[in-house]
Amino acid sequence: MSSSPVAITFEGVVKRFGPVTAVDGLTLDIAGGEFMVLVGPSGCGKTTALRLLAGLEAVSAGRITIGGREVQGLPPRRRDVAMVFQDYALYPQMTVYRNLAFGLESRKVPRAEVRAQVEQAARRLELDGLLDRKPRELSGGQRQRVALGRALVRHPQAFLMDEPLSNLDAKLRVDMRAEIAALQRETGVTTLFVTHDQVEAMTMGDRIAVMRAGVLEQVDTPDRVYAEPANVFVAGFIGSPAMAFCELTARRQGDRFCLGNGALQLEVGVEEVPETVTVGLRPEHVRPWSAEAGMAGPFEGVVDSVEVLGRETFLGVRAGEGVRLTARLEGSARHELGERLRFGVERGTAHLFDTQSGAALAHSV
Amino acid sequence: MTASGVERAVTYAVLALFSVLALAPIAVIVLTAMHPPGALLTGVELPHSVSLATFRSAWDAGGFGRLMASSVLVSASVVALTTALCIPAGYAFGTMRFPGATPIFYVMLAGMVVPFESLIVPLYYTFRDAGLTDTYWALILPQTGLSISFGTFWMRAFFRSVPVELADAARVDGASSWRVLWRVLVPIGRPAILTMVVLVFMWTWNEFLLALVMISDQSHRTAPLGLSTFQSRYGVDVPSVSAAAVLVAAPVVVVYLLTQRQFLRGMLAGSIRG
Repeated sequence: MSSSPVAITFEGVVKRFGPVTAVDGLTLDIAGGEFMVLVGPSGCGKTTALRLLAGLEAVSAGRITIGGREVQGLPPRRRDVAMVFQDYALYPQMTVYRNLAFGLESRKVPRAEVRAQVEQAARRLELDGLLDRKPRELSGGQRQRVALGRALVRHPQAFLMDEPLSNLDAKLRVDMRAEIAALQRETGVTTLFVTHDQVEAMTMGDRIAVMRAGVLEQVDTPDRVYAEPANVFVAGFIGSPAMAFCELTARRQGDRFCLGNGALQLEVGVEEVPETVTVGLRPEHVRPWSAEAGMAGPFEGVVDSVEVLGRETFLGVRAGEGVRLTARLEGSARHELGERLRFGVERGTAHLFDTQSGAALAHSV
Repeated sequence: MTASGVERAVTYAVLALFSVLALAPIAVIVLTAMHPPGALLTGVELPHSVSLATFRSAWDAGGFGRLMASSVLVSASVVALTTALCIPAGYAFGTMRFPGATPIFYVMLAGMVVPFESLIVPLYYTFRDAGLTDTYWALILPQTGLSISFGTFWMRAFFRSVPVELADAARVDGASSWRVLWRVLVPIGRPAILTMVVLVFMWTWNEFLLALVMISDQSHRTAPLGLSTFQSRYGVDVPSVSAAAVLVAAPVVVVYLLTQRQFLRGMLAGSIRG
């Protein structure tokens, strides 16, 4: 059993494949025992970062440490990490038992101990009855458990998980999400979990690191990343449906600013804003108009999409040139495409971003 | 997609035609071999009775016991050496990135491109100077060299077709490159390896020119070479030559029949997995 959880650091890590820079100056500190989720769209370099940590790719520049020890020159087997792959990568010719035992046997663990460890891991993951089966005789969920077991059985210093849930159906995915989070809490092993699914990121991570095009955009707790996104990209990537953006012109009104473009007028209490500013509004802050307190409006727009989810309904509303918002309603509201809708925006919920750089200027204003 | 009746009929007709074209010469030789030794044949004739006597007399007259033993020794050695060398070589070319991999691989491929006949004369002088003519080494070494090109090419294609995550998983699991190869990849690659073994065995077993050039000593002759002297000595004894030909071909057929399921899987694996 690994004694105490170890910290992992990336310091200015660069990975180039020929002319392509897959990871560009990644600096990230993962605390001992932390569950860090690396999230971003396909091709953002998150899997490459994970493979660099595992030792399956060599870094082009920078340092990686595990438990204070520099590892970038070490082969994977000397790093004492375990990895769970997207396609499970179970050894097809071996039984579940042999799959679980392989890592221990590679490390020359005595046979009796291998058996004890494998049986313990199998019990924990409810694989007891399946030890004699081959991977092809297992369901997707069972294969996933074997892949987890293979990581668990070795008591490594870190778990590396590369989109391990993406091949499961929706229901199983929710179950396994909880299972993996529970396993990580029980073992306290430092974990780096890669996903493109922002729901997984939000629900599983102690902190989440958002990447785009090889660059780390923001690292913080899930609620802070949601409430205070560092830039337009993070704001648009985290949250479903995504935050809506529109470019508005700023006009000073006493100690406040009025942002608008004719169809939409918002008053915000900030000290300074550029003349043109990108405003981000989350769906839950845009609702059909009712003269309740704390709402700005009414504004008018045309409904151009309706998504009824049962518990809630999302309406796409086009309100003038370049302004398309998403509004959230409780329950399954009846709205027609093309219908004119009066709506309001909750005050103090707007996010302001620099139109040129995309960087956040103010949150909840 | 379902084929219409006409399409199906055409398909079967074409397949039947090719089967006949492939099988007819074999059938003719087997039928000819069933005639009594020394029988005068003017064309394809059915034997009056099925007799294996010609096989027995051809076996004895050609000294096939000795010839077969030589062929088995040479083929087994070539297959063993080729397998032992091509699996690691294919593994390196297929899964590892190292400087010069591409040029070295092209050099390996040259062995498949250059016609063997063009090398045989210099090869003969080299072996004669080394004092290796009229030894089994003169058959084993060149044929191993020849098979390595194909074997490396073949095994590289196999290792490239295996999902890279399998080897990655084993490496992270603590396995050395050597253990990844023998414990994880080779067991999966059994059909591909067996296919290579069968093909190399077949080519080695049937090799005629090299044995003709390198071997003059009776005791080192291989079965196909024995067949040639047989023919010259018994010039017109067509049933005996046919029987000898069947005897020489038999081991290859047996090996193929024993391994055909794995062989087909190995041949198809590359095409399905891309």
